[in-house]
Amino acid sequence: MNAGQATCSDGPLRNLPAYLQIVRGRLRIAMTYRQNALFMLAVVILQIFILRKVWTALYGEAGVVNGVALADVLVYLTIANLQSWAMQDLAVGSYLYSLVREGRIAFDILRPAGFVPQMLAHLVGGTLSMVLFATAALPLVALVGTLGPPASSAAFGYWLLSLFFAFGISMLLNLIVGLGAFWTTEIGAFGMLFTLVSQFLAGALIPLYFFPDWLRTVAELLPFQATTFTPVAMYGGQLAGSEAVQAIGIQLLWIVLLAGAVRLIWSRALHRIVVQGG
Amino acid sequence: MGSMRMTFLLYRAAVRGEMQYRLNFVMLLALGLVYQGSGIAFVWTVLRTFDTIAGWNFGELAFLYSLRLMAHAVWVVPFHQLVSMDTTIREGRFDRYLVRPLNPFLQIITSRFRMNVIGDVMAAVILFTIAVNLVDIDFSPLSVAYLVLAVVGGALAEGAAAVVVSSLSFRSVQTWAASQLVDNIYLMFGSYPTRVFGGALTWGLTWVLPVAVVAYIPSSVLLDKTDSLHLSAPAAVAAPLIGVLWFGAAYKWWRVRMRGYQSVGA
Repeated sequence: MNAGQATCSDGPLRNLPAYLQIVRGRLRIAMTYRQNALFMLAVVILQIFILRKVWTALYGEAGVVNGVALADVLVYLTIANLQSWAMQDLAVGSYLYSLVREGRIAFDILRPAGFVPQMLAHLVGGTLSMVLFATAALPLVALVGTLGPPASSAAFGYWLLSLFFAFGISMLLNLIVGLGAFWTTEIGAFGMLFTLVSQFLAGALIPLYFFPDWLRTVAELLPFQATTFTPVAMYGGQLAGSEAVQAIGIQLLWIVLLAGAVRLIWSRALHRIVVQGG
Repeated sequence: MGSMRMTFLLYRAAVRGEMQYRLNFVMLLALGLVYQGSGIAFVWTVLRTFDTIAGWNFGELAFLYSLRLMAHAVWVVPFHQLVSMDTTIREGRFDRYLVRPLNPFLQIITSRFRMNVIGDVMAAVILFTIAVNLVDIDFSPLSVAYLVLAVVGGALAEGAAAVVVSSLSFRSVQTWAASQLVDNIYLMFGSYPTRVFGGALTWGLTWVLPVAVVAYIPSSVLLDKTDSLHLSAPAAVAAPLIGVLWFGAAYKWWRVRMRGYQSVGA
């Protein structure tokens, strides 16, 4: 052992300072382009308002439908939309596309820190900045939508835990969309399509218990519901007890599956770069 | 007539340019279809559980939605390039339009053609075909004439807002966000019976930002639902004219603002 090696510790965390630097960079970018984020936030707040009005009209005189009261649906929709907005960070996806298109990706791959962890750090930073914006908007959101306390302290605990895993699933999904850059050079249209379809199947506009049976089955076979419906239904107490434990198990299963998919896609992508680079 | 021909030729060149990218064309087409269709997918799904939204059943809501899509398509096909006017000005390309012998407004709208609007048109036609089979409308010559007037009036109502927003870019303001916001407001508020948003907002969405005149009011007239409107029946019939008036005023305003244009000096 010589002195040179002793200064840099080994193990999986040795690149942590580099990742933190990326996260910090992402936060700074978000602050610089805050006008963009604020505009996107305005659209989400409008959407929350419209959903509140439309669902109120749908319920009409009915107090409880399918065992759920209107007030609970409104709290669900408000939290679900804010949460899914914060987790849908397409900025990192577009960044990856520009890296590939302009050939700058070589520098990111050559760095000692792994490329996939670097991108995950970008996603963590991006989402963190979105969460900050969403938190700052909470008073306005409470005014325009409907906020309420969780169903119980257990429900709150489940929500927090499930939100953490939901964040993991969202990041992996965003990463997979971003890795599409190695196969096509245009993300714009595909990214928007992905956002629209995933939002719908995640239950951000309609809670899954209002889906027709066949559509609910489709949604439950896909990972999107685990990013939004699972945590928010726990918050409102519609998903509790053994069902909640099972839902968290499904979230963990998705994290494993999607992480495997990222590994596979990345190894193929890397192969493609080698071919392209000659 | 010379400028008519010139406008047409410029459109043709723009479309030919865009057709060079085939995969992108298919993606953008799909995006237009899904984007415009996602709202009606929401309505269809919630109406599996519920009967109506504020007294409107699925067929009626689909008709309202398709009327908005058609008005949007009639506006967006010729005029969608207005959205990128701020970039045109920032990059100094507007100076060129001023020295050419064609109205600058016509030159802006023919500068490029974005293929996703074809998806918008397809969504409009498909949904309208479905919706007219679900509702009970007597298509007399008079109601067909009213339908055409309503679509044109709706297109101009949406266009008026877009023209006003684009005119802000003459004073070197970035208008991308504002025009997206206006687009979203028409899309999101325009797709439902306006009265679900409450009295004050219904008033504002009729007289200040003419969203209700695009689809809600004319489809109430055609579906014979005017008794639940916030307007009297004759006023509702005349509503498409609001769009025409607003657009005339907006275009005048645009010309006035153009005189205040200062080149970025590119």
